[in-house]
Amino acid sequence: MATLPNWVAPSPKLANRTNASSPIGSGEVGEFREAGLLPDLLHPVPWCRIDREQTRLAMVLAFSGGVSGGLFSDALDRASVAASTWDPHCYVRDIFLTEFLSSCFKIRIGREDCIVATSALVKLIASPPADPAVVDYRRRVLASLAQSPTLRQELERLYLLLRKFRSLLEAATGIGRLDAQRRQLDILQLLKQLIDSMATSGLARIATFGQRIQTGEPYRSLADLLTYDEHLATLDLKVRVGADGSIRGFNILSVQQNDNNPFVASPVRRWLNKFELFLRGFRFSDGEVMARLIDAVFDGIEEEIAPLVQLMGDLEFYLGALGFLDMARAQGYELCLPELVASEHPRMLVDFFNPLLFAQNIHVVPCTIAVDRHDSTVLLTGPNSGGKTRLLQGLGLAQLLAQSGLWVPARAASLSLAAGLVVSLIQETKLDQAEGRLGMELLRIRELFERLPAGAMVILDELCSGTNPSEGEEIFELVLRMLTRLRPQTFITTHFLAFAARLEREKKIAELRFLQVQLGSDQQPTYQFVDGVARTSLAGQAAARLGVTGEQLMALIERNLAQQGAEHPASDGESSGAPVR
Amino acid sequence: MPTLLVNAKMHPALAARIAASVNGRRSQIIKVRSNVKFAFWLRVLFVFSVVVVVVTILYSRHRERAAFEGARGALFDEWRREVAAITAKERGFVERIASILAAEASRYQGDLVSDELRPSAALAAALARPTLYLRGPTAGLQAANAINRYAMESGKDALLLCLLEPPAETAEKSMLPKARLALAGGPPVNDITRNVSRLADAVVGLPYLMPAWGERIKHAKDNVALLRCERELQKAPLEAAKRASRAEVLIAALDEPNDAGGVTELDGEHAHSVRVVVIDLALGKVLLRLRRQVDPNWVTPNRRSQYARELDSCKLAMEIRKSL
Repeated sequence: MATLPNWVAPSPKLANRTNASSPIGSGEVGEFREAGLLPDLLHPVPWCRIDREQTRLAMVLAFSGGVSGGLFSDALDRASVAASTWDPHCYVRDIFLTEFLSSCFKIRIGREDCIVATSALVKLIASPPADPAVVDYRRRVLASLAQSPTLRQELERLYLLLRKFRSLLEAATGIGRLDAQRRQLDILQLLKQLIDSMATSGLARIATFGQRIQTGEPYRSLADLLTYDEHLATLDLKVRVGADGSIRGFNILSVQQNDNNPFVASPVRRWLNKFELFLRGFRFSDGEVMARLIDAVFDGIEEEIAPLVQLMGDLEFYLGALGFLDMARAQGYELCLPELVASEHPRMLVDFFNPLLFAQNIHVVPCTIAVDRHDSTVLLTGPNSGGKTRLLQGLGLAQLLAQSGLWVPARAASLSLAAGLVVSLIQETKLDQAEGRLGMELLRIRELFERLPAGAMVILDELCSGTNPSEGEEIFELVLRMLTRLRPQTFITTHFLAFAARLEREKKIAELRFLQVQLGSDQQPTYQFVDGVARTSLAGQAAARLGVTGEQLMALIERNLAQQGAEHPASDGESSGAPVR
Repeated sequence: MPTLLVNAKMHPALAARIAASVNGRRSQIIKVRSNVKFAFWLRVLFVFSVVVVVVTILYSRHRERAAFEGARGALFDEWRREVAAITAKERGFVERIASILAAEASRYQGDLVSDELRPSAALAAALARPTLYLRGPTAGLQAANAINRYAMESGKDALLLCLLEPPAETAEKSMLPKARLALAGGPPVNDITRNVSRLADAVVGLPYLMPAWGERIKHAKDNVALLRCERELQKAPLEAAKRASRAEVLIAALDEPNDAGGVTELDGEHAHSVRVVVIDLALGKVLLRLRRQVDPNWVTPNRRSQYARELDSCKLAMEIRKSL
């Protein structure tokens, strides 16, 4: 069994924090708990993020009669997240976070592909914690899991047990439907396995949680009940076998009742138990007695079950991240936990790639992004289809992953934590939009400044492209000047090459940096980014590649006219020579 | 409400939860059983009714059994009182008589008249004592187990009457009233033979005074069996049996096989020899043993068919008395 350093368990200093320092937005369901009370793997100070009472009640109902699935996922969807200064609405759609997690955060254990609760994961990752200690905590757990295969295997076993537990509890597979009591005993058996497995876990927080439960009366009662179910008594038999090898008879030599078990009673007592239950309105059966015992045992342990839902979400967070690492490595890419630096330090991403591309089995060309400081505004120029927009998506995702304490898609990276993220990559035309393209863009700029905190990251694609270049450039420059006051980490793409070149030449805005798509000797984009401003957008090449040159368009027109002439020869004749009455 | 599902081995918290589960508090929370209380009282009522019926039945059976045992005890006590009135020797009376008769019915041991009967009134005095009378064939009486049959068939006949009260003369006309009286039977005969008992009295009555009969009372299974015992005991001739078993003198007439030839009368009489034995049972001494030939040819033909046996018997009695 692998063990983790002490830092995985909350330090006394953190554990003594009061609710006054609890995460913002934790709501009434969120609360700090003492060490060992919660197996929270996402926060240095254990915190119950699910609605414990509601989840407990749902689990009681599920245990009693089963539910049609969704208990765990609903609880996780409703779970609170750590306090965050990031607004998911400003970037989730533009960086395709849901698609990224669905395709990259896959959990494969052995030959089994596990279905991850993506919506809960999106909610969790889309709100990166504001507290750097939380980020640091997650990074350390993740690093330990990556370094220790044994620890990872333990966690995977625990996750599989939790999945089985969820399946039984939700009865989604129909197992045990015929015998409700057997199903309940199976659930309790699995619960005991879970607790035992947790108690021996290499993760101190899970181990403490499991060991604390093991020392309690409810766990002992649970163990006794399961023993009672398995071992009421021991019979010594003497079996008589015939010449043909078949059993012809047997004698019971001795009967030893497991008297140490508190649930074991004499036959008379067992009969009286049934009779008492009959009087009380239950059926006269052994099963009814067992049902009362199961009910009482589950009643004692049910308080400890609700946190398992949260634990399952936490495990999906880490195992999904490890799945992302496995997938990247399988395709020859590397991930890393970025070095977190101050904003005035250089931004560095080595062999950086957009994971959305490799998830689509597109060959990705990693690039290196180097900017001398984070709190600068980077203007990206280059030919169309040169990878600018993909770079912006990747930068947004990388920042989000880094802020959540996860891997970033680069061999090495140094990033600075940002106070927020605003991404504007997709420009859709809506049925009810009140303004034209420029108006909508201006509204977005207005909205950006309304919500943008100082030190946030801003990613904009082709700013002010919806109007004529001369007027657009004025607004562009205005935005650049205003942004510098908030010292954001900004990346903007543009095709206003002359404008960009002027800004580079004049150097009136000190925070401005310029990156351009590198072109190869064949004037094709290499998908690498170097300092400077591009001289051409190579729109002609793109047009030729997509079949929009003059010759190609003329050929299409002539073909269409020829087809039209072949289909309507008569009408042409009438119009030219027939007399008109 | 406490529950039997809880025991001392359980942790108090577990016991409390089991009690809560049994009492339906937890069920009420999750709204699974809403009618537990109604069902509880319904079943309590049902079980109470069953218990009342069972207790009533058991109590009734107990009372019946007590009454039955009381009746059995009373009957057994009554039987024991009757048994206490006879001795062990008297209980073996029939067997003793059977062995005596078997001996007398076998080879004839010759005529004998003891000195005690020689005096003129000695026979009358002997016959005045408690006496047992039996008449039967020598061939049958040799088998000890056949005595019951012949005891039942043997009655008080003219031989006994004429021994006790002999007619004035040996003429047919003088003996005829005795013959008629013997055939008629009834109180007149009983008056004359007041001190004489039949062996049948002992054969019929003594089994009721045996231990086996007490066992039958003890093992009577129900009132019907006990009532049957009681009625049988009431009807049993216990007094007659006791009287017979206390007989001091045995008079036995043993008919030898009929002579060959001759005529058998309608009442079965035929010429044959008869052994008459008088034994003092108290002393175990034969007082008289005589063998005489009887032959109905002397009887007037028109009376022979009806009175031949009785007249022969009376004549035999007269010869016995005459031979003393």
